[in-house]
Formats: sequence, C-alpha cells, structure tokens
Amino acid sequence: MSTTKEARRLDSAQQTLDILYDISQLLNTQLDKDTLATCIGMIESGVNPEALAAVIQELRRESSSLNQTNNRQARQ
Amino acid sequence: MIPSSSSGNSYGRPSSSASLRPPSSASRRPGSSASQRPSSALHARPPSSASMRPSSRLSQRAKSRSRLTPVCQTLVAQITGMDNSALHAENFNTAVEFAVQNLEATSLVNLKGSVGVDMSTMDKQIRGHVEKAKIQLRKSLGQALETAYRQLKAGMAHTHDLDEDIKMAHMPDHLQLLIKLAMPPDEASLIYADKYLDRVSNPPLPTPELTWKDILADEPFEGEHWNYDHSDSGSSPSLSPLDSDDLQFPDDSSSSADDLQDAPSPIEPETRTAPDASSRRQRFEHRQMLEELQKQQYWHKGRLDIPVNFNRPFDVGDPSTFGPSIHQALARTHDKEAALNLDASEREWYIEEVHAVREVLFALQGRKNILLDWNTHKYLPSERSPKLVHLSLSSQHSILSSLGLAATVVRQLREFAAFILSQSRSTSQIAQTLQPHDHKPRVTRTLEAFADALSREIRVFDAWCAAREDDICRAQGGVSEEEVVISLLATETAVMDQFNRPFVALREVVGKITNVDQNQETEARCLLSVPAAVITVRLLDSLLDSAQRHTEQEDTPTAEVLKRVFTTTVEPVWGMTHKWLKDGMGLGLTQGQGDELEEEFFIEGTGLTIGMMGMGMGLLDPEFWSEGYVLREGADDVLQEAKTVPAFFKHAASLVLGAGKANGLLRALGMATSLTDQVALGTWRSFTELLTTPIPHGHQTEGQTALEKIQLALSPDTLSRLVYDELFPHCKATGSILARVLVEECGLRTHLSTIEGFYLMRRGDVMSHFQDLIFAKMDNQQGWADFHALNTVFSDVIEMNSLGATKWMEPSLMRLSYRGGKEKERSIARSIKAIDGLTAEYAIPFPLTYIFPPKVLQIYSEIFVFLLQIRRAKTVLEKILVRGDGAKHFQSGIKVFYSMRSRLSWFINALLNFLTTYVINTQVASFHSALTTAASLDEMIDLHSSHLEKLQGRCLLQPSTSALHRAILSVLDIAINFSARFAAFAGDTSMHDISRLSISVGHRSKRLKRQRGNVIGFSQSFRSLVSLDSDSDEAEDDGDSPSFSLGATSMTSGEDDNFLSRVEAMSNELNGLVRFVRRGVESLAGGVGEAAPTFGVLAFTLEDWDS
Repeated sequence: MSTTKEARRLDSAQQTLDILYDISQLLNTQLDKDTLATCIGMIESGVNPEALAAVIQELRRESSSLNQTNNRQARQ
Repeated sequence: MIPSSSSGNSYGRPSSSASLRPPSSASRRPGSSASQRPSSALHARPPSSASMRPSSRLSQRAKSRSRLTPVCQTLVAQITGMDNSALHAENFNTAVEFAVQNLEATSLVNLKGSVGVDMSTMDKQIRGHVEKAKIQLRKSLGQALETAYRQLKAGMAHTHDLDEDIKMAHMPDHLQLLIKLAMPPDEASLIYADKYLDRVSNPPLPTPELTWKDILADEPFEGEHWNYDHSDSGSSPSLSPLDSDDLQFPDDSSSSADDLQDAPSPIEPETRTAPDASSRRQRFEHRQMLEELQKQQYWHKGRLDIPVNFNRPFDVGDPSTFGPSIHQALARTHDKEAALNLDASEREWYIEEVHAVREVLFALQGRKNILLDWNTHKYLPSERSPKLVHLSLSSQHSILSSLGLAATVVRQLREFAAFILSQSRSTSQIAQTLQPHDHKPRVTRTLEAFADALSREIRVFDAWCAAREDDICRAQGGVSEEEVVISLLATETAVMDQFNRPFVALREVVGKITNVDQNQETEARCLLSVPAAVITVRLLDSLLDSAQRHTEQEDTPTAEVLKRVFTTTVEPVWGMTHKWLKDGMGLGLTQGQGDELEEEFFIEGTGLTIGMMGMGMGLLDPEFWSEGYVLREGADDVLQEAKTVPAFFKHAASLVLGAGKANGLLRALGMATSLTDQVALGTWRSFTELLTTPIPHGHQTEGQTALEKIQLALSPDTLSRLVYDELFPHCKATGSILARVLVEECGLRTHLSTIEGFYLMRRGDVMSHFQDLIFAKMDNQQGWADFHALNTVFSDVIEMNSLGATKWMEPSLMRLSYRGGKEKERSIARSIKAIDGLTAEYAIPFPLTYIFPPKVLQIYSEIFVFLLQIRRAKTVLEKILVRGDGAKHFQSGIKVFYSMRSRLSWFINALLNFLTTYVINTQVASFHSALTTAASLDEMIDLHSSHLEKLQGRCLLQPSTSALHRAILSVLDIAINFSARFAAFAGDTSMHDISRLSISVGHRSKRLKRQRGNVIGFSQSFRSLVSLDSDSDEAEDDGDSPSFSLGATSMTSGEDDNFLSRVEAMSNELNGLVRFVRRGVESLAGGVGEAAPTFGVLAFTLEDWDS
C-alpha cells in the first residue's frame, strides 16, 4: 500500500516537474531538467527563489567569462 | 570567478546581481582567482583589491559547511560544468561558497515564513508573458505557455497531499524562479512550443497494462458478440434518437462503430497494433449502451416488439389477445389458405400503445413517424405501421385516420405559413435591393402577420404535443407524481377538443382567401396574383366572420384562437392607419418620394395630378383634396366585387381618410404639426390593447358573461364601433384644427362673402352700379361683352364704391369674360340668352380652392348670369314708361300695352323677389350658421356643396328643372321683345337712354323697321306671330306727350291692329308660360323634397297670376 502511494507521489511529482520543465523551456530559462530539479529541490527546502535566480545568473555570467578567458589563453 | 553575496539590506529581494555583490567579497577572494579572471567584472574592480585580500579567509569559510552545501555544489556543477577536481577546485569552491552564502541568508528568512509571492501574482506574470508572445506574433509560444500553465494549475487543483515532493504551496516560488530566469524567446523555445502543442493535441498513449490485454486480446473479436452490424447503426433512420442532436449519445454511436472497425488513425498508427485496455473497456461500455438503446427502438421491427402468440384464443379477460385473434379470424375469413400458409408474425408486429401515442405526437408536429404517411397532401395511416394488440385493425385505422386529418390540417397550415414567410423573406431581400420601386406582387404585411399568428398557434400546439410526450417520458421514468393514462383514443379526443376545430377554422379561412381548393402551394401562389388590398380585406373579413360564427356557436376555444389570430393580423393595417394619421397625405408633387402608401392599405394615392413628365400641380390642384387620395377601389377585371375596405373599418375609413388629408394639408401649410401630432397620436393604442379594453358603458350590463363580451368584441358592428370610437377623437381634433386654420388664417369668410356679394349679387350697391353700366352699353348697342371693357367697368365700379373705405374685394381677383361670340353679343337686343355667354371667374387662393373649385365657381357663375338676365329684363321693362294722355283715341291699345307691361313686371318682380329673398338670402343665412359648426374641411366642402346645390335647385338651374328654366327665359325674352317691339313701334331709339326719365315716341327709322323684322321669337308660336306682322307700317309720334306717348296720329288703324294683335299674342304666350311655370313650381312645392316649402312660396305668389 505504501509502495503504491509512494509511486503515485513520485508520479505526481514527476508530472509537476515535467510541466515546470515545459514552462521553463517555453520561458527560455536555459535550465536543463536536472538543474531544474535541483532548483525545485532547493526551493522546496526553503531557498528564496529570487536569490536562487540571482545566484544562477551570476554563476552563468562568471562561467561564461571564465570560458572566454580560457579560450583566449588557449589561442595565445 | 567572483561570486557575489547578498548585501545585508536586500534579503528579501536581490534586485540585481550587482547589488548582490558585497564590497567585502573582494576580500574573500583568493588572490590567484583574480589573476585568472579577465572578465568584465574584474575590470570594474580595482586591481589592488585582489592583492589586499588575505588568502586565509578561504580556508576558514570553506570549512563552515552548510546544509545547502551539497545542493549548491550540485547546482554549481550543473550550471558551470565545473567539478571539484583539482583543475577547477578553487573556482568551484568559490562558486559554491558564493551560492551557499547567498542562499543561506535568504533561505533562513524564507523558512521563517516571510511573505513570498502568491499564485495570483504568478497568474499575472504568466499572463503577461502570454500576451507578450501574442503581441510579438508568437502565437504558438503564447498558446503553449498558456496551456502548460493551465495544466500546472489543473494539477495543483488535484493535489492536496502535504507529503508531495513538490508542495503546491511552493509552486509560486518555483514559477517565480522560472520567471526570473526567463529570457527572450529564441528559435529553440519556439520549436519547443510547437512540439509541446503537438504533444498536447496528440497525447501519447498511456503505458499499456497487461491485465485487460490478456483477457480481451483474442477471442471476443472473433465471436458473435463482436459481429456488430455496422450498417444497422450507420444507416439508422432519422428516427433514431442516436442521430438526434438533442440527445447526448451521438458520439457514442459513431465512436463505437469506429472503434470496432479499428479504423487507422493518421496521427497514431500504432493504435492498430496496440489497442489499450482502457479504451477497449470504454468501447465495450459504449457498445453495451448502444445495444441497450437499440433494444428500446420500438420503431424497428424486432427490437421492442410485443411478443404475440397468434395461436392464443381470444380471452375476454386479456385485451392483448384481441388484436391478434381478430386478425387471425379476418385472415381466415378472407383467405383461409393464405392465412394458414403465412406466418402472421412475419408480417405483423405489435408495439405498445404508449409508443404509438408518441408516434402520433410526432405526426402531429409534422415529423416523420411510423404510423402516418404524408401522401398526396394528406396524412394517411401507414400500411406498414405496427399494430396494437388490444385494437382491431379497423378501430386502429379509424383512430389513426381521425388523427391523420388533424395532422393534415396542421401540416397544411404549417406549410402555408412557411411559404408565406419564405416568400416574404425572398421578396424583401431581393426585390427591395434590386428594384426598390418595382411593384411586383409580393406578400403583404397582413399576410405576414397572419402567417406569424398561424405559426404562433402551431407552436402552441407543438408545445402541447411536447408536453404530452414529456408526460409520457416522466411516467416511464417514474418521476411523474400523477398517474398518467396514455392512450390513442385519449390523445385523439384531446387533439380534437382543443386544437382541431381552431385549425380547421383557420384552414377554411386560408381556403376562402385563396378561392382555390387544391394543394397548399398552389393556394399560396394564387395569393400573390391577387391585389394586395383585396387579399387583406378578404383575409380580415373571413377571420372576423369565422370568429363571429364560432362565437355564436359557443365554440369558445376556437373563437379565442381566431380572435388572437385576427388581432395579430389586423395590426399591420392598424399600424398603417396610425402612420397615415401621423404623417398625413403626401403633397403629390413628385412621384415615389416616400409618401406612397402600402398596396394593402385601404387608402391610396391616385397619382391624379402627376401629369406629363412626372410633374403636376400636386397639392395646389383644386381636385387634389378630393381626388389625390381616395379610398381604394379594388374592383378589377378579375374580381369585380372585390372589397378593399375591411368590414369593421367601413364606417371609420372615410373619417381616417379625411383626417390624414387634413394632417397632410396642415403640414403643407406649415401649421400646427406638433399640435396635430400630440392630438392625433398622444393616446394611440395597438389593436390588441383596443380589444382588451372593457366594453364601454352603455353596452355592458351587469349580468354580462365573458362569452357575451367576446361576442360583442368579435362582431363586425361592435368592432366597427370600437374602431370608430377610437379614431374619432383623433380625426375630429385634426379636422377642427384645419377648419380653424382655414377660417382664421386663410380668410374663408372674407372670400365667401366676396363670392356671395358678387355672384349672388348680395352687394346690391356695387352690383347695381355695375349692371347699370353694362345694361347701358347693351341699350346703346355698344360692345358690352368686351373682355377689357367688362373688367375695366367692374374695376372702376369697385374703385368708385370703395372711396374712403377698404375695398370690398380685390377686382384683380375677378375675371369677367364673354364666350358667346360677336353675333351672340349683339343679340342682346332680341334675346336675354345673349347673357349666357358671360362667365365670372374668381381667383380664390389655396387652400380655399378645395372648397371653391372651378366647377363650383361655374355654378355660381350660372346663378349670377340668371340673376343678371332677370335684372336685365326688369330694367328693360322699367324703362318703358307709358303716359298716354295724348293718345285718347288709342285707349284700347294703351290698355293692352299697359296690361302686358304690368303682367311682365309682376312676374319678373315676383321671380326676382323670390330668388333674392326666399332662395339666396335664406340659404346663405342657413349656410353661414352651419359653417360655424363645421369641424373639418370635408364637412365644409359638403356643407358648401349642399348649399350650392340647394341654390342651384331653387334657382331652377338644375337639369331636372331645365324646362321651367327655359320657360322663365322665354318670359324674359318676351319682356325684351316686348320692349324691342315697343321701341320699334314708338320709333325712338333714345328711349333706352337711362339718363332720360321719359320716352317719347317718334318716327321709326328704316333701321328699326329692319330690326323689328329681324326679331327672333322666343318660342315657335310667337315667331309665327312675328312673321305675320313683318309688313307692319311705321308708327308716328303724336308729339303731345312730354315723355311718352304712342304716335297714334301717325299710326294707321292697320298698324295698330298688328301691334295690338302681337301684344295680344305675347300676352297669351306669357300667360301660357307663366301658367306652365306655376304648374311646375306647384308640383315642386307639392313634392317631398327639402325644397318644397321654398317653392311653395313661389307657387303661392304665382297663384295671383290669374286674379
């Protein structure tokens, strides 16, 4: 019984995640499904979504600049 | 890499990444990282800060592990692609540290229950994105986003488990994250949107389950159970409720059949190979339902038949044995062998009576059914119809035939109404747009109203049928509270009692108005060829007649229905009446300018004054009032006796006509438009309201029943009175306004007095002066009838008589002319008839021309001429003064002469006195008094016409008294002739000089002799007398008489004799004529006419002739 319930819960969560992923893709958030799942997990655990969004953007920005530096160095 | 951390004052909402970066972060950064990062962020930073940062801080912070650290590591790894390997360890750790530091601070706040965003905010945000996408013409993206969001919300609505992995309470936060991260859509997101929509519209199949697959995989598809007759359901007749739109099963039927066929789906071809269990279960349920329903299809033989054992004997206690057994008995009687060979059950099938009643109700509503066939324009019991077990064939046939008749009548009416309405639509749409002025036969508004009323009654009937069917269904479903007894006979009785007679009556009306007793379409088409007004009247009269007849027969329901239909049908005509009274007549100046009346209205514009080139005098034409708009005459070549005024409008029609004309005239005069509107239309009611008003007092008694009220309301006389009473105040008010305007504004009385003063010579002073001048010209043999001379004389007379005062009349308005020619003009010396050619025309201004049209003025002119003739004779006689002192030897002649003159004078004076005193004065006085009470122009015209007719009649100027008129003219001619004879005899032409008071008789000139010889007699006998004395000799003046004396001395005895004998003959002639006149007048006085007393006066006067 508990297994069924667990399965249904997982199924429901999966469905919700799928839908959120769809929305995410449609909004062009550039999040893959795993990242989205991680984000959702973080929010579920109490992380402020705006702060999380800011962190993600910052991480992206830094990652991007880092990659550019590496590329330039590699070319030199 | 430079991770930023949230500043202390921006816990709730880090607005930008820049703000997240605390100034202290530089100090936390390891020195080596600064050298690795040439990014833009680094440029903004002073390079010295890196060198100032103590490296020991990193190790301290890295060691402080948070609960978020693992997650943040995952996140950093997923976003940046770095890992904790030696290559990226430093950057990775820095990033993780940055994330942890930022998130931990905010998460603490969040966990404490700070107010986050709610779902409504997210709704707005998402909606905003959707709108934005749509505005940017990314429809699919917007639609996909909308759909996805809707799905999410739907999922939220069904999930209330607090143990869910993704709590719905956090959903706004998730969405907020996504929105914060949202970027403008690119190609990939658009493609994703298209795919997403496609996926939504074609959802993937759920994963198959094994259970049902095992059970239903093989066998059922091959068994008899699955051999579903597709043609049966597919070609099910329209009677099938599965085909009906009002039931909820149409898709079940089709989907079931499709499912069973396993038709390949263009979208999902895999369904053929892997039908899933749930859809199959659904199909099975659908099919089961279909079968259940099919079993109830009593209209298909073999589905819900009543099992009948034809071999069972008839049992009195079991009615269901009656039908089959009597059928068997009949069959045996007629064709025993055939009956034995044929299995009756193969041909016959029996249904429940309740189903038969349903079928009959269908038939009554004009729908397809299995009991009655629509064949050759009537319903007949179907030969293939099922039977009822408790009825014999003939009894069933009898009941069905009766119901068939009722259904036939209803259907015919239905078709008639439908035809009329369809014609109405087609003509109004096509004809009006293409040829707006083309008067092709078309459906009248009254017919439309009739068709509408018919449709309404039919709808009531349909509703009744539907209610009965509803009762049946309720009773079958067990929801009916009352006990319902359903039987064919009861249905038939109910239909016949409640509906059949009204419908039959209406059908008769339809037959009457078309005069054709054939099928409906022919009848309806015939209608279009009959004049619209005739059809309208025929329809209304037939309806009213029928309603009255049924009322008299105390058939109240029928009478009520007919009354309703009649009321509705009358409304268009009533509305037209209203419009006519409101707008009034058109001005008739131009053709087709919106003032045309409907062809079905009982008033029509004749177009009388539309002359050549489409132009005419219109309103200004004197005949326009009487001829411009008239009650429509409907008789044509085909329908000689066609009426165009409805019977109940008979009395009010002329009233309405007059009021509309009066209103139009008032509008044309620019007077009192608003006033007439207010008076005429302030209390206008529809015909329905008119009929529902209580019967006026005086016609309603205490014990009057409702039936009597209906009877009163429906008889043509009562309706006529109601209509008259309703319209009279409006019409009277309009007429009164016009009458007042005519009198006060148009100077009716002034012009009337002018006309009477001139034509009837009531202005004695002026007219005497005028006539004296004219007569002087006559006496002098001058051209008295010259047009300019006449008018100048008249003008001068008017001028002379109005010195120092206002003119009695404007002489320029009067035009005198003579139309007899020069020869006739000169004959004035011999005959009074020369004056006949004189006419006087008075230019009366508009709109008084309606009262005094030219033909009326012509009559006035005739009277004027007659009076002038009498006065001329009188004047001529008065000029002859006989003073015979010196003519003693001529005593006897003078005596005769004197006697003749006296007799002539007496008669002429008596006649003139009678005409002026007893005819003109009396009539004018009575006319004036009557005119003050006239309430409308029509009444004025009638009064005046009657007045003028009386004047004409009493002046003996009508054709019926032409003999008397001629006799009087002969008398006047005698007077003229007598005068001329005397002048010829006396030989003094100067005797006609009015300036001389006496006449002396002198030598007769040769001209006078010729003149005497040329005298034309006024009658045959007198002419013969004149011819006899043509050789008479001249007379001579004796010279003794100072003023007048017969020239006896110079007159030979022979001449005397001739003269005396002529005078004698004249006297005899006069005697005869006067007696003739007297007899005529006496007979007129003895008549029963209105003029008898007046003529009695003249007759009394003339009695003295012989005395």
